[in-house]
This record gives sequence, structure tokens and C-alpha cells, in this order.
Amino acid sequence: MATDPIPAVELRGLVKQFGSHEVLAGIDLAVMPGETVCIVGPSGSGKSTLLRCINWLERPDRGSVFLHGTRVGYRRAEAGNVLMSDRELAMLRTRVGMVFQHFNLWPHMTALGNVIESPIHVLGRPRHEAVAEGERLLEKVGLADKRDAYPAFLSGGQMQRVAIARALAMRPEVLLFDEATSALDPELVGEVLAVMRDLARDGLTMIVVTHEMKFAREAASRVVFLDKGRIVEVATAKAFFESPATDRARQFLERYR
Amino acid sequence: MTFRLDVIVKELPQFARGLGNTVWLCAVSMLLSLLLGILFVVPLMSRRRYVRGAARALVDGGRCIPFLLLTYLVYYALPSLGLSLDKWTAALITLVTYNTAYMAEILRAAWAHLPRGQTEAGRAFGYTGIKLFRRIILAQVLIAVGPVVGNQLIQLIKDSAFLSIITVPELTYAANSVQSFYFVPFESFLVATLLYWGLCGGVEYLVRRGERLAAVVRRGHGH
Repeated sequence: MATDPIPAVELRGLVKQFGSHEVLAGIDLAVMPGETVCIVGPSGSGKSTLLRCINWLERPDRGSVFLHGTRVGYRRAEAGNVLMSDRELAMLRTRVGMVFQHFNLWPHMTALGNVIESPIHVLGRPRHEAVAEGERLLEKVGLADKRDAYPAFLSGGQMQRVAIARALAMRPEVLLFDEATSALDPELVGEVLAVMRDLARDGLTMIVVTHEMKFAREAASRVVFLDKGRIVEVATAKAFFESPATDRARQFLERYR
Repeated sequence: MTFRLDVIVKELPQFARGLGNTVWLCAVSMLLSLLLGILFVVPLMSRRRYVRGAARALVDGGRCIPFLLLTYLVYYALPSLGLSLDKWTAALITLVTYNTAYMAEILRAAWAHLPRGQTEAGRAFGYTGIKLFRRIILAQVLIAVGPVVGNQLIQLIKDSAFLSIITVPELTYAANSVQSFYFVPFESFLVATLLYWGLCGGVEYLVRRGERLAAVVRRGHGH
């Protein structure tokens, strides 16, 4: 909260290019612990890329990412900054939870198996602890009874809720949602958003790329409006939706009326 | 003609031994090939072009020798280089070499078809290198290739008949020796054929079971 002066996530001058196309054209953003920041904008504006740069699934071309003050991707050395090894990067990534558009559950494991997999095999937590916490998290997302079900036998909404439990099981410092409801049938969107709303209320630090304006309006501490790789507007949810400061944000919001 | 069932009954032990040898030769070499194939698939999927190219050349070389010719090479040509092998060793080496090339290629194809999101989720959760391969990729790839591996096993069982050329007493060899001793080619080869059908039928059954498992993994990818 406001008492903690170090941002959970901080981006400085982030630039990402694919070929000659500049997807992110210099992003500066600080997300404080406990905040839910929604990133909105037209498709192709760089929202997903921005999210994927935070845990370096996408390697930024310029600029820097900080996770609670620790630089992601580079390590300080005598001769200046050097690239992190895969292993160092992997350890940093465990501090960032991620929920994907297409869930990306591991289909060869049960719901519980998905949730306890990384705590046991990456973080080295004792199995019985991971199982106990996994069961608690499945209950939290309303899927205690699906503990032993394989992803193939779950609906999209259930898969995504398992994926959220899987991310929570790592006890991440920040949770990233990459269009978590875009691949879902309309009638399944609500159950996932309800879980996300609960998490925001619990005070988790969340960065949410979304097209669900209603969710952003209700759950976001702040809204970031991205267009053509630049942050056009950052405001509280109330301010952004009731009186957007820029024409482009106004035009964008028109489409959701 | 009269069907010489008496000969067949009398020589059942020889058919059984032949079948037994075919079964263990194919089973053992399939297992070894699968393990070697797993080692080979890593360089086949390497990001480094030269590593990938070298592995590719080896695998294609292995796949594109006729099985019979490979048998000749191992059993008759290697002694010229000072490497004499008994027929069992030669048989196993031939089966494993030939089959590993196929296994590696089968595994590579399945790995390449794995949705990108799978390894991406692995990375996002802190997996890297061997652990990513073992926990996330390999498990899924092995389930996905089950049916294809089964079909390849059927191919291998049939190819193993060529081993009779180097006097390995497998099923075809047994049938051949029974027919030449008693002059009963029809009875003898018919029995061998039926035994091959039975064997492949068993494998086919496992293939169908495997297909169901593979379908669960495919559907679990969620899109």
C-alpha cells in the first residue's frame, strides 16, 4: 500500500520491437503493492507484449523492469550489467504469477497436479504442504470437487480457474492476467471474473490486460490506456471511465457503450 | 493335400521359441530405441543450427537404409573392420539402430506439435532446461506418440523377420526350419502368419488404448 515506497513492478523506458515494428515505444509505469492495474486499449496496442516483458517471456529491447526493486534480466557485475542465466531468470519468474488467455494448463496432470506441480518441483516445497495449500486454493476458486479431474474434462471457465489457483500456489508478488477471459464462451466469463474480483479485494497485486470494461471499472485501482505502444492515459478507474482526459480514450470507450 | 496338423503340434515348442525370441527382441529394442530416441530428440530440436543439422543427418541416414541391408552391414561387413558380433548382438544392434532413427523423428514431430503455450507456461512458472523438458515436454510428448510408437512397433515386428537371414531363431526362422525339415510350407507359414497377426493384434489393441489417452491430452490443451 501507500506505506511501501517500493513498487511491486516498475517499468522504465520499456521498448520492444518485432522486426521494424515498434510494439512498445517507451513504457514507464509503477504498480504499487496491493494495486489492481487494468491495462486496456485496442488490439495490437501492445498490451500482451507489455505483460510478457514483465517476466521476460518476451525480452525487451531497451529499458528495464524491476520487481520489488530487483532488476529483471540483468545482474550487476563488476564490468557493468550482465544478462542473467536461464536459471537466475527462472528463479525471478517464480515470483510473478501468470494466467494465460488459453489457460495453458498441463493436460497430463490433474487439476490438483497442475496446482502443486511448480511449488514442489521448482520451489521445492514439501509435497504434503503443497497438496494442503493446493486443495485450499481449488476450494477458493470453487473447484474443490474437480481436484482429480484432468483438464480435458473441465469447461473453459473451470480450466481458467484452475490456472488461477496454479498461479496463486506460487505465492507470487504480482499476478499477471493476459486476456484471461477472451477465449471463453460468454456464459463462462462471469465465473472467472468473480474469482479475479475476489483476489483484487484480497489486496493481491494484479496487472490485468482485459477487454472487460465492466471489470476494470469495478475492480481496478487504476486503468492504463495503451495505444500504439504508448501509454496514453493513466487514471483511477472512476476518472478514466467517467471523464477520460484524451480524445483517443474517449473514442475507445465509445465502442464499449 | 492333407493338412499336417500333427507336424505343427509336434513342433509347437519350436514355434513358441521363435515367437518368444521375436517378442523379446522387438520389446527390448523398442525400449532401448525409445530411450535413445529421447536422447536424440534434444539435438534434433536444438536452437543451434549445426547441432540440429548433424542430428538430422544421422537420423535420416538411419531411416533411409533398408532394414535388410543394415542387417548385412552389421553382421557381414563389420567383421571386415575387425568387429565381429554374434548373431544376437548383431540382431539387437540392427533393430535398435534402425528403430532409434524412427523414434527420434516421431518424438521430434510430436514435440514440434506441442502448443507453444505449454512450454511458455513452464517457463513462466520457473522451469528451464532439463526440468522443463522432463516435467512439461517429455511427459506430454510420450503420451502423444503412444499410438504412433505402437504402429512403429508393428513395423519393427515385421522387419525383424529379416533377421532369419543371419540365422537368428525368431519366428520366421522357426517356420522356415519346420517347413524345410518336414516339407510342409503351407502349414508352417500359415501358423507363422497367424502368430504375427495375433502379436500385431495385441499391439493394435494397446494402440487404441493409447489413442484414448492421447485424446485426453489433446483436448486438455484447451483450444
